[in-house]
Order: sequence, then C-alpha cells, then structure tokens
Amino acid sequence: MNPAQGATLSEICADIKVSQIMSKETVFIKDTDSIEQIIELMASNPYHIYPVLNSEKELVGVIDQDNILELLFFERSQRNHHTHLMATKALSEKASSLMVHHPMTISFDANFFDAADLMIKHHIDYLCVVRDKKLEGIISKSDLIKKIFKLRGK
Amino acid sequence: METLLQIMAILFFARIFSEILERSGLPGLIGEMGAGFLFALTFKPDDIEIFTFFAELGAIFLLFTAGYREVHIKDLKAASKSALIPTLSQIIVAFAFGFLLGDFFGFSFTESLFLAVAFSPTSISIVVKTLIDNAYLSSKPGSLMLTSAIFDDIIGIFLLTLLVSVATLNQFPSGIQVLWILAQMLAFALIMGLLGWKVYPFIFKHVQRMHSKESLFSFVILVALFSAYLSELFGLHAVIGAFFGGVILSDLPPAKIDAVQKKVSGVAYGIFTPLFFAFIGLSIDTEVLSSAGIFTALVIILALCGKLIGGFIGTKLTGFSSEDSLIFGIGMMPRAGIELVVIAIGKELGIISNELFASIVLMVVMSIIVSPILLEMSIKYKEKRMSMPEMENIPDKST
Repeated sequence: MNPAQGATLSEICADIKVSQIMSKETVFIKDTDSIEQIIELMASNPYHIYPVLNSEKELVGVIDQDNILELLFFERSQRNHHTHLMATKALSEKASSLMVHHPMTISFDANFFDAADLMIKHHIDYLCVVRDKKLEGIISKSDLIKKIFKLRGK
Repeated sequence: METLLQIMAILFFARIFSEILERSGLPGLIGEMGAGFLFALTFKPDDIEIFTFFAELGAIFLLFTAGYREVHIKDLKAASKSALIPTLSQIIVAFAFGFLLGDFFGFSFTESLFLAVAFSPTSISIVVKTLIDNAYLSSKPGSLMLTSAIFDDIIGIFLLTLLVSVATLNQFPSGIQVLWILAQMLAFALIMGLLGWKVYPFIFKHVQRMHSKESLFSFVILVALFSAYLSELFGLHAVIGAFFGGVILSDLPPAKIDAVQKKVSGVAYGIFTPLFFAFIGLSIDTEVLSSAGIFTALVIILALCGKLIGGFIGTKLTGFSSEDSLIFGIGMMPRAGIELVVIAIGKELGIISNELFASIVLMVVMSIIVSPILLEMSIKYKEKRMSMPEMENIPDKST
C-alpha cells in the first residue's frame, strides 16, 4: 500500500513493525564494563541511552547520560538525593550495579503505533526492542518522526 | 477548627520549617515534626480525626516509597556476607539496650519490646553528606555502613511485623502463637511473591495501554493500598504490606517509568509523609516534655550507645581497626524513619505512654543532630592517628 492508492498515513503506519524502523546497530555496554569504560563509550558516541547486555546478549538494563551525570556529580547533589540506593550506586564500579534495572521494552513484532502510544502517553524517549529477552534494537521518538517524514515526502 | 484549614496550615508550616532546617544543614523531617508540634501548641485542635487518617496514609506512603524507590533486591545477595556480623551485632545490642531500659523502669513486656524495636533501625541517609564531605563514602567503614543499612531496614520491618503481632496478644507469646504468627507472615510473603512474580507484570502490561486518565499511576497507588490492606488481613500492620508492595514494584518497568515515579514521589513527599511527620510532632504531649528527665536522657544515650557499641564490637570482630570500627558505630547512630512509625503504631494501639513517645521523638531528633558531628570528629580523629606513623601498625586498606 502507498498513499497514492488512497490509504491514509495511519493505515500505513499500522502495518509498520517496530523492527522495521528501530536502530539495529546499537552501541551497547556489557554488564561487566567498568565505569571508566562506560564514560569512554559515552564520550565517543552521540547517543543518549545505552542498553546493558549480559554475556548471553540478553538485555539486563540501561544506562543513560542522566544516570551517569547523576552519579558523577553525586557529591554535589542535594541532601534529598542522598538516598541509600544512590549512595550504593555512586560507589559501584560495574555497569551491572549502576545501571537502571527496569528498562521499558517493546516486543519485536509490535507495530508503529504500539511504540508511539507508549512514548506519548508516558513521556518515554526510547524503548528497547526485544525478542526472547535478547536485544534487537532501540526505537526512539526520532525514529518515529523520521519514518513519518519519509512517508509524507512520497 | 475546620479540617481543610487544619490540613492546609500543617502542610504549609511543614514546608516552611522543613526549608529552614534544610538550609541550616539539617534534614527537613525535623522541621516537619516541629511544624506539627507548634501547630498543636498554638491552635490546640480538638478534632484531628481526619488529619490522623491522613497521617496513617503518610506512614503507608513513607514505607511504600522506601520499598519502591530505595530497595533493590539483587543488592541484598551481593551484600550479605561481609555485613552480616556487624549488622547483627549493632541491632542486637541496640535492641537489648532498649528492652533492658524498659524492663528497668518497670514497663510491660510489650512496651519494653516497642522501645527495643524503636532502638533498632538506622537511617544512613543522615550521614551520607558527612561521609561525602570527608571523602569517606568509599572507605571500608563507609561502604560497610551502606550494606549494613540495607539489612537494617529489612530487619527493622521484620521486627515491626513480629512486634505488632505480639502487641495484639499483649503477652509473651506461647510457642503455638509464635508459629501462628510466622505462618501468617509466610502466607503473606508467598502471596506477595506470587503477585510480584506473575500477577502484577501481567496486569501492568495491560494497564500501560489503558486510555483512562493516569491509569498507570493510579495502579501503582492501588498496589500500595492493596498491599497495605492485604497485610492487615493477615494480622500484620498496613505499613508492612506497603513496604513489600513497594519492593515488588521496584523492578517492574511500567511501574517505574520516570513520569510515574515523579507522580508517586509528589504524592508521597509533597502531601502525605510531611503530614505523618507533623502528626508525630503533634502527638507529643507538651506536659510530658516539660518534665522530661532522667528517663528521656537515658533513652537518648542508650539508643545512641547501643548502636555505637554494637557496631564497634561487630566490626572489630570482622577485623577492622579500632578507628574504623568507631566510625562504623557512629555511622549507625542516626534514626529517621521506621522507629517513628513504630512508636506511632504503639501509641495507636495504646501500648506506649506519652512519656516514652516523646522520649523517642527527642532521641530521633538528637541522633539526627549529633551523629553527623560525631562522625566528622571520629574521622578527624582517625586521620590524626594515621598521621602519627609510630601509632600505626596495621596497613589501612581503605581507598
């Protein structure tokens, strides 16, 4: 189907799978990586969010720029932020202990709107696309916008 | 006085006082308690039924958010071995001090038990700032404090659970009664485990797609209230259920979306927990306070020393230097959370006296003020000793 045949943009989008528009070449962090390796990775890549994978390539968490900055500047933060969990994270050296353990995921075969609904309703910037716990890619708001832009351009 | 005005006034003063305290370098909860205390002193409200209910919700939310935001189950496994002896040692000594003190003053068994449990917890967040300022957070005693504090919370909750069950019996429980209490706790834990393992992930998967307003946030709050209610069905106190409800949600992705977390903490820290702390302040009997004497002094001293001595012995046993053990012991002194819930429950059940209630509140306030100062002194003391090479024969491994 294409717009010329009379299908609306929504109809086209409903047929698009998340797996078709996600970024597949994701830069990821290993759960055994040290904080130095993580910072180096972040310094040399433009992304905001990095998935954390274990040795079986399963998604176990995410680390984003906010997390790292929060930890690096933990000493400067307000007393309210000096919670036990934050202090423990600030001390930890490994990705597995300082990552966020509960990334939002979406199934490999979900469609465009499943992703868009989640992102808009809950103000989420990205979703990790998974199949059987394994990371397939990452889909962000800009992936959605790029796709729409391409479709409208036709 | 009108309820609306009451809640509004308390919330307003709690915020203002909390800000003043934060700016002077002390935790805001002292300000919130102070707001409640001054409110009672100036307005002498006679009908506080609705406010009391709000305060109960405050206690529920306090423990719910503690579980929801602070606990990470996997940390427990990693932390278990190294911190076991120091943790048990400081809790047991503090507990014993509390119980013996109550016994010495001729309290009932249950009242002494309340005192003992109120002595047991630690709120590490009070001294984190001091540890940071002295670059001691990553030291050996510093990281041990953090691990020990995880167990402290869990053990504190466990003790509170037992305590409430025993308190409702109001006597030393028989063997069968203890078994019954444990069976109830186990049944509750199993149901909560099942909910967290299978039921909630399933429910939240659908809730995140719901169209009605704020469904996700609403369901997080529902889990908090349901867990609290469920624990009451099993003869446990509502706050215990709330804590475990929070722990169960702490690793569930949809329940932990940033936007939802912000709303939960807004409701908890913006409305309910300040009301709980204000309620504690409001519940202090002013007449008791003016006659506070030896007993209150002993409560404060023994509560602080219990942690210090217990912590010192425990760390010494695991091979720490005396200086590090001292630092650890002092780090375990501050209280600012569960023990206030403990005494609020004790008062609600009519078990603890006004005098005991006021003494423990004073103890909490003193521990918050004194611990960071003592901690800083002990760190300075250690550094002074370290700079005298002839005194030092054990190489220090702290970084």
